[in-house]
Amino acid sequence: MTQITTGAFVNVASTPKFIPLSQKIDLFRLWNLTMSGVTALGVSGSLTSTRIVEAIFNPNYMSNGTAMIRQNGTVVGILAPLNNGVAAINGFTVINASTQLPGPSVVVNSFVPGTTTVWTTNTPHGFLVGDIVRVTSLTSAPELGGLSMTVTAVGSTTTFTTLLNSSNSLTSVGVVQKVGNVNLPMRALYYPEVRVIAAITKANPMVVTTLVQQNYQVGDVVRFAIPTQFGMQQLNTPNSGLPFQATVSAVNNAVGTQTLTFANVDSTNFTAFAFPGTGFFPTSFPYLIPQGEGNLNNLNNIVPSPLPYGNQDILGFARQNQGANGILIGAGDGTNSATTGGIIGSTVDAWMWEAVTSLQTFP
Amino acid sequence: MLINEDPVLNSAVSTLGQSLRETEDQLARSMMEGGAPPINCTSGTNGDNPTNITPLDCSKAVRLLRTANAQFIMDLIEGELRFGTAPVRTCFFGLTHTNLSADLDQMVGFQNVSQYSNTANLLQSEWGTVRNIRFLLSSVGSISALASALGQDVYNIFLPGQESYDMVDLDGYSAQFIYAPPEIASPRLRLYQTAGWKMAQVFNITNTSWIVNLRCTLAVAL
Repeated sequence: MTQITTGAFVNVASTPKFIPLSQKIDLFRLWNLTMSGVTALGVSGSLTSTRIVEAIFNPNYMSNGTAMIRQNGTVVGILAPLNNGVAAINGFTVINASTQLPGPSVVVNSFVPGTTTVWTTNTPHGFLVGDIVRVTSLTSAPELGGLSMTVTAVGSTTTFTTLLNSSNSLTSVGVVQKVGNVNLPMRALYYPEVRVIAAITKANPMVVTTLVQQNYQVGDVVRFAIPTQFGMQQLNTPNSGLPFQATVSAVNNAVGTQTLTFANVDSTNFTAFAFPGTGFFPTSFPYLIPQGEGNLNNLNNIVPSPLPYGNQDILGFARQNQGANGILIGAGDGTNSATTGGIIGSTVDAWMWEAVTSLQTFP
Repeated sequence: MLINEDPVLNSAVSTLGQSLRETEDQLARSMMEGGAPPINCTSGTNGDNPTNITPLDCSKAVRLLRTANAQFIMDLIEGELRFGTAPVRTCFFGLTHTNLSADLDQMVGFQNVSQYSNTANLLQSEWGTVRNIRFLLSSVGSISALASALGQDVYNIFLPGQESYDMVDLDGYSAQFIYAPPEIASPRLRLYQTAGWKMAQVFNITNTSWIVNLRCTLAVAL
C-alpha cells in the first residue's frame, strides 16, 4: 500500500539528523519551517536569504548524500524568491543500520602512550566526538590492534583522543577506521560488538570505564571476562562455574566519561586492572557481558524511563533491538555550496518532513 | 493490466518463506554478536589477533562452557564397522560463516561429515567436527569486518549450549504469512493481490555462561 509518514523535529546546530523509519523510502521531502518564516515547535520563524528551505530525495534515482533543493533568494519584505538546484554534498542518505561498512582507512603516524591516548593521523581523519573508531595494523603495538574506541576529543584535523590506557605499550604507526557514526544507530543491533573495558577502579563502589560509549542502564546485571594478563581475576567466573555477577547502580554514558558504577562491589582489595602492553599478543580482551535485567522496566530511548507501570513484561536490556533503518539529513552551512554546503545549517531550526512508500513505481 | 494469480503467488510464497527464515537467522546472529561473551583464538600461526582457529582453541572454548556447566547439544555418535569413519564426540554446535570451511578442512584432526560413523540426522549445513564442536556453516554467518589486529575480517563462531538462548514471540505473531486477494488488496477494480509476512519476536540469551563467541581470522585466504 502507498504509505505516507510525516513528522517534525528541531535540529541541533551543525549536526546531521537521523530519522528512524521502518518503511521503504521511495520519496522524502523536508521543509525548513524556521527559515521559511514559520514559527513552529517553539522556534520563531525567520525568513532568511540564501538558506535551503525545501529538500527532496528519491533513492531510486538519486545518489546518497545528495538532494534536490530549493533555496531562498534575497528576502524582500515578507517574501523570498526560490532558487532551484542540487545539494551535491551533505544531502540525504538512506541508512540500513545493519549493513554499515567501516569508513576509509586513515594512516596512523603515532600515538602518545598514556592513561588516555592521543592519536595522530597522517591525513585529516574527519572524526567527530562520539564516533567509534577501530585501530589496526599497529606494528609496534599489536596488542592494541582491533580495539574499538569512542572518540572523546578531537584536537585537530589529524589528532583525536580515546580512553585507552596505553601506558604499557610502545607508540606505533598503524591504521584507523571509523566503525560507528555518532549520528547513526550502531551497526550491532543490541550492543556494540567489542565492548572492551578501559579501566576498573580499586574502590568501593567499583567503577568500570569502557572504551566505547555503552548503553547499560541502572539495574542491569553484568558479569566479566578478563584475561589473566589484565589482572583483577576476582571478577572472573571461578572454577565452580557460578559467575561473579554485579548490578549496575549508576551509569554515565556521556562521551569521555563512559562509566558504570557497582555499589554492591568493593574492589579495594582486588588486584589491579591494567592493559598489559608490549609482548602480550595475541590475547583476548577484557569484556563486560550483559547477564540479566533488573526489574526496572528500562527501555533505551523510550520515554518515560523507567516505564510508569511496575512489573509489566518488557524486552529490554540485551533483548532490546537498538538498530534502525532510516534516513540521515546532512549538515553543513545550510546552503547548497559545493564545498561547505549541507541541508542543516548552523542555526537551530524547526523542520517538517514527509516520507512516502509507493505501491507502484514507474518505470 | 491482467495478472495471472497462481504462478505469481506460488513464487511469492517461496521467496517470502526464504526471506522470513533468513531474517530470523540474521536477528538471532545479531543477538549473539551483541551478547555472547567473546574470546579470541590465540593458538594459530597466522600472526593476527585473533589468530586462525586451531583444535586447541576449540578445546579451550569447550572447557569454558563445560566449567560453566553448559550442556552439550548433540549426543555421541558411536563407532560402527565402516571403513574411513570414526565416532563423534558429544558436541556443541559451532555456528559460523561458510568462509571458514577451508580453514576447518586444514585443521589437524578435523573430521568431515562424510567420515562420521553414522550420517543419519545430519543437518544440511553441517560441515564436520573437531574436538567437541560440530560446525554448521551459513552464508549469513557472523563476520566483524576488518576487525582483527591486522585489519582482517574476524569470524565469529557462536557455541551455544542447551538452553543458552531462546526466542520470545507475541501470541500469534511468531510468523504469519498474509495473503490479500484482489477483492481486499484493490477492491475497486480488483487489479492487485498482495502477499507478505510479519512477525513479532525477539531472540534472547538466557544465560551468557552457556554460550561463547569464539573469534578467529582466516589462515586460508579467500
